[in-house]
Amino acid sequence: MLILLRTLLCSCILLLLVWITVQADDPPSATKLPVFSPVVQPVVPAASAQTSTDIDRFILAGLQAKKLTMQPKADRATLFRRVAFDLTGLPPTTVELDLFLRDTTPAAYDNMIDRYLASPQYGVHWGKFWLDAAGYADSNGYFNADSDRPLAWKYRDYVIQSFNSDKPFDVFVREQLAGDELVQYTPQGDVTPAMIEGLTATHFLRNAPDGSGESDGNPDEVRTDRYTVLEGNLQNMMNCLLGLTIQCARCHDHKFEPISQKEYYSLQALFFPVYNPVLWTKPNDRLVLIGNKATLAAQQRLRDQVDKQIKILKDSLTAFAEPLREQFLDERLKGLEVPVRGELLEALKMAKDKRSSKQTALLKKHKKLIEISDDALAARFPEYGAFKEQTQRALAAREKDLPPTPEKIAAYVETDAKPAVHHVLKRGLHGQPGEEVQPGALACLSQPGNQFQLTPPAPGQVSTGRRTAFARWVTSPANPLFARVIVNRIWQQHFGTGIVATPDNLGYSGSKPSHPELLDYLAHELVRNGWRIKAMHRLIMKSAVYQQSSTPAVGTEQIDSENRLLSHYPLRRLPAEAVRDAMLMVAGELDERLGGPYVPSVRLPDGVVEVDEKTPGARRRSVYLQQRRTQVVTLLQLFDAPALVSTCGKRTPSTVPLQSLVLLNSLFARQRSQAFATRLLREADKTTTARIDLAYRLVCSRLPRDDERLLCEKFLQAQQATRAAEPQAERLAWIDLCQMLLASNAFLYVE
Amino acid sequence: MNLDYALNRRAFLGRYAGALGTLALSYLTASADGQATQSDPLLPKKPHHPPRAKAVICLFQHGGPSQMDLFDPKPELNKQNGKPYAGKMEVHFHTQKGQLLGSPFKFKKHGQSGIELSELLPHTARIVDDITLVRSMKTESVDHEAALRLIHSGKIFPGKPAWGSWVLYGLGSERKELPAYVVLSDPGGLPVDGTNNWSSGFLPAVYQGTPFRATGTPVAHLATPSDIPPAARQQQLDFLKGLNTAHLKRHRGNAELEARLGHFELAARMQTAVPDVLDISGETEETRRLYGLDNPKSAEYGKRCLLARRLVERGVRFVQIFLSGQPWDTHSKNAENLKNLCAMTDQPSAGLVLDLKRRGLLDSTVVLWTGEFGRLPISQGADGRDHNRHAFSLWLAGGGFKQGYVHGATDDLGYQSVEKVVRVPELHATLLHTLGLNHTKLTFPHEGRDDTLTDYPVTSAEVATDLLR
Repeated sequence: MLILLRTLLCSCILLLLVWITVQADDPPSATKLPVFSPVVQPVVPAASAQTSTDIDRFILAGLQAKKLTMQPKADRATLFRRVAFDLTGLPPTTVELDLFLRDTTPAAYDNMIDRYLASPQYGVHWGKFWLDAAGYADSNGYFNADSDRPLAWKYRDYVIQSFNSDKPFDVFVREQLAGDELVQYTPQGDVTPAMIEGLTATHFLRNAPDGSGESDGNPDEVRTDRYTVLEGNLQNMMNCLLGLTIQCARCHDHKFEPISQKEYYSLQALFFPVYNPVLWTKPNDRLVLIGNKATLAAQQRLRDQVDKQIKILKDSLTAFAEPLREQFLDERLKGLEVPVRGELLEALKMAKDKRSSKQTALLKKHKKLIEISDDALAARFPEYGAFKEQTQRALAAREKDLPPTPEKIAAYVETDAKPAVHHVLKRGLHGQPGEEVQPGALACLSQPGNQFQLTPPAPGQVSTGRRTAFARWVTSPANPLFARVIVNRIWQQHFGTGIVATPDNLGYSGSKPSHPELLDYLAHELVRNGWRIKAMHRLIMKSAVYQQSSTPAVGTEQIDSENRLLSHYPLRRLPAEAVRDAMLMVAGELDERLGGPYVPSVRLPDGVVEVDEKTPGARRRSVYLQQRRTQVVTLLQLFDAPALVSTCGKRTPSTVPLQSLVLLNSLFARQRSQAFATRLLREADKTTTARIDLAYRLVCSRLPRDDERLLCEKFLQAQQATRAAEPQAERLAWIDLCQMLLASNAFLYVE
Repeated sequence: MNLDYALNRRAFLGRYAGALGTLALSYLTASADGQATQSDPLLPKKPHHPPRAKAVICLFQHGGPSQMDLFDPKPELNKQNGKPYAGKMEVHFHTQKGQLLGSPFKFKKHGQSGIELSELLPHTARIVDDITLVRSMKTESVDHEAALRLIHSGKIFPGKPAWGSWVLYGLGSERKELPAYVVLSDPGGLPVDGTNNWSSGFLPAVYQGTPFRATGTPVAHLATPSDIPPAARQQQLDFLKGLNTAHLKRHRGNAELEARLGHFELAARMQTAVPDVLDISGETEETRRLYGLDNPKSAEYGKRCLLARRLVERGVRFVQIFLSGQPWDTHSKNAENLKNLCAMTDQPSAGLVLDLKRRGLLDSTVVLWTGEFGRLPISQGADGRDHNRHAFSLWLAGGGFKQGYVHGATDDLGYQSVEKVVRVPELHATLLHTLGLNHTKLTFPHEGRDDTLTDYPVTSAEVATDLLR
């Protein structure tokens, strides 16, 4: 059975055609693909009249080769809306809009970018991008139960804070790979406030689905469930950080990328001290307590003691009540005929699941008689009431003595002082260990100056230092893929498509870069600027290619239908989170608070997943809604938010009628429209003109064009007439207008 | 996770076109262009070859129906009733392993084909000459969830697209105002493995199954909010169309914006089309009886079978009916449970085939009756049967499948499929084949490879041509 099963699991044999082609060509080798060579500062193409930045020189070189040009700069309001959504995932406020439009100094645009980069909402938007790439979710996945990850949100907050503080990207990644080792965590030692950030970061290595808390099959199945955690997290890490698909090498040398099977298991060995299927800790038990060890231990002793006392009190109350309850039941049943009474008592004695249907029915019939509430008992026996009150007072007093619950982190830490040696698994089969492997990295990305080098842990340290060594190797400027992968992801967030269109796969099986030299230029600049992501945004957003109009020139379609050469700014639909968040913001309802546990979502009987309007935090930004793998909020899912199984480096934008239905008919859309209309009626001057102006400034960050204004006025008039018989016809007409503005393409798309 | 299909195709061609044969190249360019120009992922697409069927109705029997009590007569098993099983047997609940357990139900030959069926299936007996009965199925897991994932998505791992999603991805949708992949779930509750059974996995979410509610509004967000009268809604739609048309003028030729403009009208059409398909008041008494709607035991299941026909009639591609929980999981009281389950499903299932046939729809519709695995020939505890992945039975009707045909056989005791074994990936390859799709060509780039429903490079799945006319 296992062989068949594992063969199936080995999901790595490639499309036959491709395979034959590769065979006919050459075996995979690092020297062939430029992205496997270290980044070298490329020569910037010669300047021409139109260029303002180096980025533009690369872009223009590509365009000129096809006799295309860039489009002129977009108008200021359009540009402003573009920047606001790109950096914060929110539309600009009218105050911000006026501030920008009034500022006619040459630095106005740069200042506006800086203001948005300084906004805490920047981290919320860009944090989500990283969380997707890292495979973050608030649930364990794998099994149907999709159990909760109650502390994962701390990692989410860590990511958002890191983006907001513009943490250098290499530091950010080193923390996520080995934060526990960087802060010198030891299982016996204290966890000081200074260590919290590094420990929280390591949740990165726990993002993959993990069903091991629920596995209940035979030993083979349990082992498979555990190995899956190891494999999943390794896959996540390599996709996310290096844009490599490595999982093929689990069963055999990679047919496509220069990765051997042995190397794959060397990578697994990095995680083996924690993810060792033989010595396993279930996910919700993998916790680190914050605080001083001695204090924590003292608190625990106190807690045990108080818990014991509380139990004694509760038991004594039960013991006091039991005989009284029986006596009371007897009294109550006296009126019944003897045989019925006997049957009833017998049925009561029977365990719930053993009762016959007749007994259950009998009990149901005499429910009122046999169910004795605590209050009824106290009324019948005043001594019980008095004892109960006394006990409750004692309980309350004891509960006050309970020490505070210690803060916990769902971290990834090594606790095994002598971790087992890992082996190659033959054909990927969990039960078939082959040769021993040492922890290591990939030869194809190693350089003479950047090898995987393990430093033995300092005395007293438990952690092996494997991940620190790996983190150093990954984040080195000499690593060919690390910087390229992240700048490609950032470029994709700004332009919709990366320079390499497959952001999780820059290897041989990924797609070819549209502008390979630009990719290298950006990677080089990132390192030169101290790995600062915010500097990368500035660099990109100051370019002419970013600032150009989204209206294509006539004839472009035939030459570059997918706009890979960027002859115009790509018109883009708002991402799912921005659709929801912007609707809330336009309506004046957005709750901009940062951080904390997720806002729970519910699945309604009809399958719709939503956040109940009454739930505290229901109007917070989408990143704070529960990210349950099997329960993606329907509104978000319809607009292409992923249900995470592994990672999601890129979403496929769809255009389907269900999106229209949700905008037309959902309670969410209707409620935002009501709040939006209320806002218009309250904030604008009482004229229709002023209200329409405000509506457009909120929805599109500009005043309505003449044709739009005319359409709005006509609609309001007609709608008011249609609804004339209803109370508040004018308000209803405004609500109906607001709803359509929030469903319109002018709102849903960034130009 | 999701890659841009069109782009990936381009990149693929850019790199490998040199070594491909001309034929393969022309095929790939054709589909690449087809993909690239369509912003609507549900537009109808050309199949790979002329299809036999246009639609699939899957009557899914959660839990693992007992083949030796329903479809696969085993006289030898009855003879050895009560004796120990001599060989090695894979048992799920090994502590409750019992002796060989014969079937208490009588089998009889039916129809011109003379196919033997259990007395529990008097109505299926009426359609034996229309069906292909496969008695030699095999799957890979005795765990419900893993086996469900295998039969629904081709893999025992979660996160893969369901068969209906692949079909939709391959063929698109002909009738836009109805979802093309409809799930008729049990009003009693979700089946085991829940919505995973119709997840689009790594395919774009537009390809996932749409569950219809049994009561109230069938599809989420289908009803216009109660505070918007029809005339007011119409004016809203006209207004929105005006706004979007004005917007489009400034972005002439943008296919995505054009599509979205049209979708608001389409959404309005869905609002009438969906309730219309669910309204069975126009069906005759005779039709209702055919589906067992006059019998309280089969009425609910029968109504969903009838809805399946109405959906397929209106161009829906893939309909799947589910049961609540996993009722065929007869670990105890096997015989008693089977009686009840057959009373519920036998007549409606057969009624569906008969109704499709007389309406001329059976030729273009595949009806598939299956569970995720079978059951063991030994008893579990006193009167139950345990999971069996080595043998199970299923039947197919319509869409080019043979009529009155029995395929394959199990061993004398019904433990293992031994003759003309059909594995799940082969079932998938064959289903896709009848729909005009080549399972090796229906690919989607995922995690660095072109993934398929059948994972044929690993499973070596091939179309089971024996099953086809």
